[in-house]
Amino acid sequence: MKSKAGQLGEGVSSIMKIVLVSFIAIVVLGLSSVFYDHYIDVRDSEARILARQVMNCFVPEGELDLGVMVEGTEIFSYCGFSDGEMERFFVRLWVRDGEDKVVRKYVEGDEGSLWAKKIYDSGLAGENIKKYEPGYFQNKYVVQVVNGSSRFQGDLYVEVVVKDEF
Amino acid sequence: MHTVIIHIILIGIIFVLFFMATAGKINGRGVLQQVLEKQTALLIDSAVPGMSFEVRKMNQNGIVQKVSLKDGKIWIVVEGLNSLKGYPYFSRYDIEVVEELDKFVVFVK
Repeated sequence: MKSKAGQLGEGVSSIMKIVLVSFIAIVVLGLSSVFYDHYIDVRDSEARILARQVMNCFVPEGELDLGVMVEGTEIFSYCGFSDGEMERFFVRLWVRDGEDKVVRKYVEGDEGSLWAKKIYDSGLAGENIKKYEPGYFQNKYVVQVVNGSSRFQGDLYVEVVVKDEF
Repeated sequence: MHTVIIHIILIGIIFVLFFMATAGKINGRGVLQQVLEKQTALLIDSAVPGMSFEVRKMNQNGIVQKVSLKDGKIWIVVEGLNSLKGYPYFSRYDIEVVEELDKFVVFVK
């Protein structure tokens, strides 16, 4: 016959064993989570797709009409995107004429994303925060620019930055 | 004797719970779900009106149980694993998901 103190000691010992087994299980599960988790980054692809969508919207049939696309045009609403789904994006467009002078600029979104992108490009960001690097795409398109009665060949630059989804 | 049996039962329960949780990780349902959600979101992003595409229920990425759109995100349930965050898509057009017998069809209108 065990004393009360003996029974209590045995109970405490049992709890300790169970806690130990649970702790080991949690550690193994945590390690397996790290090894089997994998993050797939599609932000560069999203940036490329959005650049193309914006380009198609601003330059239908290869012509950019500066009379229609006035300074301060809101890119997302003009192109028919809803605000809620565009919070992750920063888009900048600028038009250069034949003399390489910027004749029109359009900007929308959080410019801080561009700043974050520059930090990653400068190499200051460590490997452990690599997955927070914004997606990026920039391209130049040769377009016909219509400005009132004049018409000239210019370059439309489209730059898109996509914030992380975390 | 009773104590030993209780120990065995408790450790058995812990082992089963642990095994189930680890199996979920090792078979990569989360990664498969991520692949499907991102693939579908990119297809929606780049689609134009009139296009439609199918997500088969018996997919090579696992059994797809549900495809839904909510709050500008696509949510896919793979083999009982509910999506926690979904994945955001963007589109200038109306998107609709229709469930058919063996597939989900995403329409761009």
